[in-house]
Amino acid sequence: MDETQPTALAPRDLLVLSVLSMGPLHGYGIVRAVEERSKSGLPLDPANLHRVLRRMRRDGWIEETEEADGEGRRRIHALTAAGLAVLRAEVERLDSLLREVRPALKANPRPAR
Amino acid sequence: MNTPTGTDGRGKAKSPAVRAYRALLRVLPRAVRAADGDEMERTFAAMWAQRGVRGRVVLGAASLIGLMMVAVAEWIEALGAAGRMLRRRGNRSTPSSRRERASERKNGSRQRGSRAGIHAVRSRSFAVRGSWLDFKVGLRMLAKYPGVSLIGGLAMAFAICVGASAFELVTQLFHPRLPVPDGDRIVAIRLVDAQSSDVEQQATYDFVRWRDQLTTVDELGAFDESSQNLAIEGSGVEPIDVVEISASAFRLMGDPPALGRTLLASDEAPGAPAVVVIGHDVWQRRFGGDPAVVGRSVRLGSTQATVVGVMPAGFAFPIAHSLWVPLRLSAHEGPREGPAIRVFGRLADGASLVDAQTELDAAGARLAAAEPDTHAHLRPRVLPYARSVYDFSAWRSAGTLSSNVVLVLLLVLICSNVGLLMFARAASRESEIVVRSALGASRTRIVLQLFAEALVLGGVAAVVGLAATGTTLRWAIGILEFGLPTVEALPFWIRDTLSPATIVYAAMLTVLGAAIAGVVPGLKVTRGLQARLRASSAGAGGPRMGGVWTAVIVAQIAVTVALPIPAFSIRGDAEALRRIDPGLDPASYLVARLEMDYARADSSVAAFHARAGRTYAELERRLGAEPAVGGVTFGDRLPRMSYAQRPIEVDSGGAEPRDPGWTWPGYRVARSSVGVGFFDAFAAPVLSGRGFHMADTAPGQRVVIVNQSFVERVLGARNPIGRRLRYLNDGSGTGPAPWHEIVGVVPDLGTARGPSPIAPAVYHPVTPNAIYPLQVAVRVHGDVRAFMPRLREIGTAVDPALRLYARPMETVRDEGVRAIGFAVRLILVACAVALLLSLAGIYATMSFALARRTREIGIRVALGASARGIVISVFRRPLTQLGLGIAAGAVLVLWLMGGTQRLLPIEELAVLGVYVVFMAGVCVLACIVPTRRALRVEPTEALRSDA
Repeated sequence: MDETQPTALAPRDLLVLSVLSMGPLHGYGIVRAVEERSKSGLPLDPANLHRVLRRMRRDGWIEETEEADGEGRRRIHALTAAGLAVLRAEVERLDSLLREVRPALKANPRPAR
Repeated sequence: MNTPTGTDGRGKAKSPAVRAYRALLRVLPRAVRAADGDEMERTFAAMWAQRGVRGRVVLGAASLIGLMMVAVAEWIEALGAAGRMLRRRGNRSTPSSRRERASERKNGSRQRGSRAGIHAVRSRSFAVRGSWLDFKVGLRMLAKYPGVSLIGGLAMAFAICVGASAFELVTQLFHPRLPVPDGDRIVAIRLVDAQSSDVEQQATYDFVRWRDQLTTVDELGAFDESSQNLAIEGSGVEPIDVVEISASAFRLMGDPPALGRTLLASDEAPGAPAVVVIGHDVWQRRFGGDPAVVGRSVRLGSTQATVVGVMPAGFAFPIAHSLWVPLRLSAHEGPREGPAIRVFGRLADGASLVDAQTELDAAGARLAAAEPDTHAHLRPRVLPYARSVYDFSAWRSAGTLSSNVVLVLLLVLICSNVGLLMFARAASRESEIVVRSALGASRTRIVLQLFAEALVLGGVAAVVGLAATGTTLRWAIGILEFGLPTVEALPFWIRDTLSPATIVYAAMLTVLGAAIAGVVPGLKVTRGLQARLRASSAGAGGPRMGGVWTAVIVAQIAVTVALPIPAFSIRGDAEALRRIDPGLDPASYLVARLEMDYARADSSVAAFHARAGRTYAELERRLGAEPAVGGVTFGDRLPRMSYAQRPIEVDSGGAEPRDPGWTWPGYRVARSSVGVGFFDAFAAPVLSGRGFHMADTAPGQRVVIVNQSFVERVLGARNPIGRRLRYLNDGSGTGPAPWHEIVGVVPDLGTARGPSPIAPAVYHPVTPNAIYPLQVAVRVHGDVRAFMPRLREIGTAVDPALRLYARPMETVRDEGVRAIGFAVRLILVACAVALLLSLAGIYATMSFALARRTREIGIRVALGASARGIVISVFRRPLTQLGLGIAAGAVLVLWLMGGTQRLLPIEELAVLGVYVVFMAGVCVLACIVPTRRALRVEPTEALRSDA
């Protein structure tokens, strides 16, 4: 565990960081990318999304730029180096956690139907 | 970012959902809205556009919930930040605050921060510059629109009065505080049995040890409550609540005596002369306020004692007492022996409740080790004194929350109505508002001014409301004393005075009310102001009175019309209660509850009952010798009291139908145990069969007498003599009781319960030692009240410790009658408020309609229209509302009458008719003021005002 991330990330934060790691996106782009990845079917609502983005911006995990498109100016969110480090540390943490717990399933295989 | 409202960036119209979302974003703090509002809207719009019907439903719900949750979180953060900023102002230029401000600047929204900041600064300076003027204008408005001020002010005053009273009462009940200096450091110590969770009150052994050992609790004392006869030379005998108490109680409370002295520690010594300290009301009531009362001798129970002091009015420690005698505890009392006492004290300087508990735990452990037989499971507990008497803390959060919700809802309802009035007033000042807007006033500025005006009205209303709170509180405390059956008198810390917290609460209610009554109409009246400004004619496309308000007014009138129906129904019940023939003349009877104390000579409960029986027998013998007495008897209940209701069955063929309100199997009857001479004393003839004999009270004799109602309702008027009845299993698991034989029938004797005159009753014969406490009935020739002192005198002669709680039978009432009185008063208040609000609504619509039609009326007058024509046209709308309301009310009345299954008698219909006419008249009166104003409109003025 490194110092930048003392506690586990919420699933929503993890998803947002992971879609931004593929490249900068605007708000709706994040929603679409998150919904493609998550299977919950529940939409990520705009208010919560932007609250998450505000917090990440404040913590220096992401930064934003404005760019003009056909519909006026809109904000593009991009992962910073710090954000990437947080993402990487969280994925490693989850990885090692899974390595620890997976033998439990091997010892108790799913019963055949 | 700054797209015109109603279009997106490309000028395409936004969908209603996106516009709704945009509007909902207002729940967020402004800084958040400024930073992310546009982006959130854009994201929502894109998501909305890409979804089908089902997806949109899900998105709508998720967005709404998400927005509300985020709003709560953001507001909490924003308020926290504001609090930190306020605290920082004290040390403005410390390096840390500079750093924090710098980091806030950096982290805030970089693009929009500066603009939002400028906006905030500007609106703040507006508020500061404009505020005094706003309040002055508000005061002027109060005088200019007296109708609005009076009706709106009274309604708000009512809401604030009810809110503040309830808040005060809830605070006093759920967060009790002793009204003495350092009252929250006064504590009680209880001995709790950890196994049974019972409180062990025989704690003299422990108390004596705590008094010697405890260092964290000072002024340790104890008290023991009892009832005793107070006999005063020349003033007769009367039972009174007495408290034996340690002298430290008076030091704890700190009140000096009004006369003489308080109890002293020396009074507690075993051989010390008997002394008594009396309270202010006992001094006034029993001693006639005698200034030379100190030194007088009284008899308390069987002891002669000297009055040594009088405490000032309001002193009632420990609970609600007004007679104190020294507590004499034996230091040699064994564990769990001696009188039932309660222990109190004050936390020593520097000690906390936790310190005291820690020390008590240690003391408890020592005692448990020393006396394992008795103390193994006893745990001393220290707790705030006020909470040791009535502990409502289990309901604290629920009670506080629910009462607050109700109060705020009431305020919202009432202030919405006041808001309607203010809206009408604001609408009638539309030209002024448009001009102000043209001169550069922002919408916020105008709304703020309307808010300030509402605040002025609310402030005046708050003063009136708080002034009425004392009366309301006294009334509420009365209800409480009635409503809590275990409470005879409320403890002295529940009082009808207002705490500073309540005044702050009332102030908050006022601000909330002003926000509803000022800001909401302000926002409505200023909507589309820019468009109207461009159209440059006030009135064109201006605000309109919506259909919702019409519906609200109609509904209020309907409720006002129908409100008396429950009152009638309740009053009808009360009448029915009064009409019931009790079968005797209550004016010639005295009733008295007979109480005695256990004495050391009573070896068992049976021995005590036997002694009580002997005492009664002697009392009956001596009373019988009095020439004024026509008869003496006893029972566990007497006529006109509330009887226990029990289910029974009869041995064969009971009558049908049974009582529909009774859910048990079998028949419902009133059960009573009475003396053998009961029916003779009440001059009730035995209608058939025989009366009771002494032999009937022998063990194993199971005979009963029933009343006339029993024969009719249970037996269908068949011959009852020789039939048998038995009590059904009432859930105690013992199965049906044995059979009893009916030997006689008597007339109905005041056994009715509630408004029903049908009251089957069963009487069992008993001897006086079989029931306790005994209710004694004495038939008196002549004035029953005049005989009361003689009754107590005879009682005292039989046994000085015998207490007789005597009163005329006429004052014995079913609790139902008192409850009815409260309900009727409550409904009357509700009626008055509903009427007031309907009036406010009608007045508001009238003023509003007239303000909108000034020009039209002016032109009509100019064209020679008659005053009558104008009046008709003006009255049409409010009269339609009134008519609709009354019609809806009539439907409601019919529905309610269907519910109570009884037709209104002709006189009640007449009363209802008069009431409706009165209400309509008052509504018409409310229209007259604005109508007179309309008729005075000069054509030139009307045209000029719109030019």
